[in-house]
Amino acid sequence: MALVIRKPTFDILSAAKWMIRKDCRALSSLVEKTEETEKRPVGRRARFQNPALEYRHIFPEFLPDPNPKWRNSLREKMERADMLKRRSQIDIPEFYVGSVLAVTISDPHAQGKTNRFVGICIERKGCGLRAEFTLRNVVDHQGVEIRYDLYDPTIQSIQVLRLEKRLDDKLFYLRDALPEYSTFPFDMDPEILPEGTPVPVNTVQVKLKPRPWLERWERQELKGVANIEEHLKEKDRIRRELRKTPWEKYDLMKEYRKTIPVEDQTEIWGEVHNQLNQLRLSRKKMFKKRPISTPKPQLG
Amino acid sequence: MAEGKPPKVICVYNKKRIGYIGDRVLVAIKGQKKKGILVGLKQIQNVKVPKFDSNNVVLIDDNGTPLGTRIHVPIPTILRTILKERTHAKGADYTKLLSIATKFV
Repeated sequence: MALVIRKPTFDILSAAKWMIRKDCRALSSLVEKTEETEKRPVGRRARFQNPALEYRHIFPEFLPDPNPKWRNSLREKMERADMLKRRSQIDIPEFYVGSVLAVTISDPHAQGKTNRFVGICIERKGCGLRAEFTLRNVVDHQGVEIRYDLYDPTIQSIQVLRLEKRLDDKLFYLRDALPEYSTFPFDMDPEILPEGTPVPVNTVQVKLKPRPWLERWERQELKGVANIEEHLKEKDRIRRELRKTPWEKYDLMKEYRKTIPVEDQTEIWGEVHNQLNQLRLSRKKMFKKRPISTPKPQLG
Repeated sequence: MAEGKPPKVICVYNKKRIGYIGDRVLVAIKGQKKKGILVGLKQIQNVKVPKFDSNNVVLIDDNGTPLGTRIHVPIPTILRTILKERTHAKGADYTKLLSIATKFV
């Protein structure tokens, strides 16, 4: 997620102000702190005014990697065209880290030639055609993770069973959490949100298993972990204090290097806005056409 | 494994000596040496290949017949192809462990 401007969506006003002034290119992190509290209830409707601010969270893979070594405007443009072509073939829905997805791929190794996997999205990374996401589930008391390319031609369908966000950008701590936090039944029914509601944030805090852990979770300032303190020793607390980098959020240059400037973003979104909007409208039509039927009871 | 020391892979039968999915290994288990097949790994896998929370081995004998009668963990579907390739007409038949698998992912 290094490519997106790491911002919650509710700082539009501040962003607009900054854009008018034109003296800042990336949205700075100072603003985030001050404006965070007031604009919570802004719905999805209101955000449609500036597509860039809406789209960079829904389609983060359309923004290129901010590293100047890897920028190439022609390749990026061609990749975007290919992505739109793929999106006109299958419906790639809006989803976030923390959403529960069902992915069906055509699998030459499987018996029925298709393979369906359900799991919580714990990571989204990569940009352009190399965008990928990881699903995690616990099957028969065994944690399983599968990584998929978002634009893989073997993907037959991606279905969002539960659209929500979590408190953190990456949910790797689920590997060390109790298994019930990453267990999802394969026959889960999709939960449909009413039109126009903002994406809900699931504020569940997971409980970690006792140590040893795969990573030093205590140093990562995670919001979605409840019992991290009770597993720590005095030594770990001291080390955590020493390792803290509280000045980093004021580092404008660092922020700038890992984000795409607003001017570049408006160019990109202006290029793809029309087609994305058309895809969205056609999908809505399809959704309305589909007859509403009660889900069949599961047999056997 | 509930009793005794946890089993340990002490040799991987390939040129690199690094175990990948579907490789034949030698396992030290309960003070004995047994052959096994790696059916699930913790290491980073290719796209669409599942990565597990633990390293899983199915014990087999020299002919490729599994020693147990059931497999309780999910088995990656890619093993079907890998094990079919490794099976030779007169040598060991590794595909028998696929038939006792309970779940494929």
